[in-house]
Amino acid sequence: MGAAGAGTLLKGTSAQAAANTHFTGYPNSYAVLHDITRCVGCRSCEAACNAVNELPKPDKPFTDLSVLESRRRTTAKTYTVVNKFPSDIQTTPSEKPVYVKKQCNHCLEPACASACFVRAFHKTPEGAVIYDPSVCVGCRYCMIACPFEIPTYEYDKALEPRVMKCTMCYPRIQKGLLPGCVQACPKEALTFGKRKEILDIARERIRRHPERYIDHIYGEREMGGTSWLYLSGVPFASIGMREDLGVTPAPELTSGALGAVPIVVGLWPVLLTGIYAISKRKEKVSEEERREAVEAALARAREQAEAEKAAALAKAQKEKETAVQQAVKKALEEAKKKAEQEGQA
Amino acid sequence: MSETTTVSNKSVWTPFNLVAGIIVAIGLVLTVLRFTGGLAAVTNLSDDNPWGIWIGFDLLCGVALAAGGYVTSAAVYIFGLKRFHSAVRPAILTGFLGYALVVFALHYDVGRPWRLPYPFVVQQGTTSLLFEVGACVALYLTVLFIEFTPAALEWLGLKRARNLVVKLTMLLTIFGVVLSTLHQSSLGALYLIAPSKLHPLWYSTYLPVYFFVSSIIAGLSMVLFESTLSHHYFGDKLDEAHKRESLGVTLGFGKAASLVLAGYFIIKVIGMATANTWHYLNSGYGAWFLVEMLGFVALPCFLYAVGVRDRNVKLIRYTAAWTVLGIVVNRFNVSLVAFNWHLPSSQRYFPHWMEIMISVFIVTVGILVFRFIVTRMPILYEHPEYHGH
Amino acid sequence: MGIKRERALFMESTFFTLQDFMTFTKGVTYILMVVALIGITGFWLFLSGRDEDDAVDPHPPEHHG
Repeated sequence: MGAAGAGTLLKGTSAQAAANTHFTGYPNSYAVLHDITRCVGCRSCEAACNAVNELPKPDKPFTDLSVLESRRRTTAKTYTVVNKFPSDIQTTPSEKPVYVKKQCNHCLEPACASACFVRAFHKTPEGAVIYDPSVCVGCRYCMIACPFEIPTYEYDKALEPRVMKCTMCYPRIQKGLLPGCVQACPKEALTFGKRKEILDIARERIRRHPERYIDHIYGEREMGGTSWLYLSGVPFASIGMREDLGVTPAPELTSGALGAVPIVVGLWPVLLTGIYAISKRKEKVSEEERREAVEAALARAREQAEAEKAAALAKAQKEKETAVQQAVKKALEEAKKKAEQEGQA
Repeated sequence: MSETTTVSNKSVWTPFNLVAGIIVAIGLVLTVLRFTGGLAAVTNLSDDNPWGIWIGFDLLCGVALAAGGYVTSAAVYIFGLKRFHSAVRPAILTGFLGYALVVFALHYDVGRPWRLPYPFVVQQGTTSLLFEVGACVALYLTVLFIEFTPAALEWLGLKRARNLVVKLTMLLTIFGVVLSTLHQSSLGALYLIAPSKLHPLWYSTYLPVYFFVSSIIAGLSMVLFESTLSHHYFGDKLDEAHKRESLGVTLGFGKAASLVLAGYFIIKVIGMATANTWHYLNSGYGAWFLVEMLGFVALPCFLYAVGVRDRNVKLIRYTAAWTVLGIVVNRFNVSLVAFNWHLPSSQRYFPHWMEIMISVFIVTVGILVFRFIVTRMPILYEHPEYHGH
Repeated sequence: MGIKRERALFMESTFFTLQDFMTFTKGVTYILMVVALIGITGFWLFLSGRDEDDAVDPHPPEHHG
């Protein structure tokens, strides 16, 4: 549903609502390119993010690079983290470790937006996926849904816990400024621009330096495409970026189940009423048959009774006649005898 | 009808009441902790594991095991199997309390429970299966409540109101089946959005179908299980109709459960073929999947069948309890065991004892309310004034 | 604010994302479902309004035998 159909890719920006239409996203949305080969793990981006978003001060300062020794994920106080991957996982001759920045990827079809039952997430035309804490109920389904495991939750807050994640510095980019991390990066490992242009830049870098880059722009098509794109010199799977997520956008994963809902609503009442009617009819027919059987049995019984009665009456009548005949015969014989006796005297 | 007076010499301080009382007291304390210290104070939930046993057990198992309501009322009123009539009210009560407890438990789990009505009255996340679950559960809870009221109205002597509600039975039953089909399946569909986080043996595009079909199994088995407990603990409340129909209900529901379990087994295997996940069987998770399929689907299917053929009531009742456990195992597997299977063990979840305690508290409250209702209202017996209706 | 956004979406005849498209179509579908349920209930009452179980037949069929 909504996926690329048999070549009916509509040119231009409008995507009409047809079953075989392909959605290409907002035409002028921004994206960020993270060139992993340029990252040196200085954590300036983390510091800038913390300052711009007025997040709480961390336990260890951003200048402390020892935190890179353990694998970190985003937290309720950290929209972005840089992770370090040891040099022995590299396939290039360089001995340096690999540093990767992780944050919300601002997907073109965000799973969090698809999952949220109060529409607290919104993909803006600028490209940022933003969160509205004023409607959030705190169900955390967005955290289940995000394939990149990005959203975090303020579990320690009793009354106003929020989901926390990178905003692509939405207020800043609306004003024409760069996101905090992009601004702060000293190595130009982060580049901000229109997604189309960012993809061109990425392809050009791969083309120019095929020995430096893996021939893949991570985020170009993963989960239907993201607004944070990555170039790497080592396989993405070795630096904590999953390559088994597929290209199906999250809304498509659930559209089948969602589509079945109104069909059930439309057809179940009809089916169930039908079953009820049939079972009621069966009951009625069996009730009728039962009644007919009882009546037939009664009728037969009555007939039999009548027949027996008639037979009994006839028998009684016959016996009566025989008895009368006998009595008459006897009387005649007696009269004859008497007459004979009187005749003799 | 044997009616032992409840005005007896029995003291309030029975062992059960004492234990229940302690649980309730602890539960109240933990409730205060939850709402003063946040979820962190009483749970082991984390950014990696946003859903724990309050979703895996209270929501998923709670809803599945409350399915007896729609299954039984459908059997009696839609399919016309009048010989199961005595099972309807206990099933509806179990269903109603089950769903009420689910909503109660959700107030502990979500970050801002006072905003639970938001998806309906403020902003609708119509692409979300959770929206669908919420809408259906809310509506179905209403349906169940209405279906339960005749028993309460009879107890209160409100004849006209009671008769009016009874007239709605057919309509409510059909609505109930529609709503139940939707939310039972949608609970499974919740996980469709996270294929990368659910082990391939449990993830399937058929998840909604699996959850729906297994809810029927859960409903049938739960009716039998609840009846076993009621016969044992509330035996004096059962009337002649109940006792007379009991064997028929046990055999009938056991037979149905056996058949549906067989169908469920088949469609689970078909799901594996569709996704070509056979090779996953050769692993630790694969072995556990086989335990679930063979021990908790195939085995009860067979035991139910033997019980029905031999008219072995005891076997059927034990199988019912085992099947209820099997449903819990399945829901736990989907939500807690197979979910996040790819994470290292240091990042996996195990509930905090306070989380478990709150769940125990919620179930205890449910049992206490069940006991209150069943010992006073015509659930296990027919009210003499309405006999025959 | 949510309602205003909804109106704005409705005015938009073009959807740039599948998410926005589905939000709209599913919203319409939910409303249709409620209407359908109420409608089919009413229709069922109409359909079974003169069922022979309830109605009194003014011309009962003749009984022979």
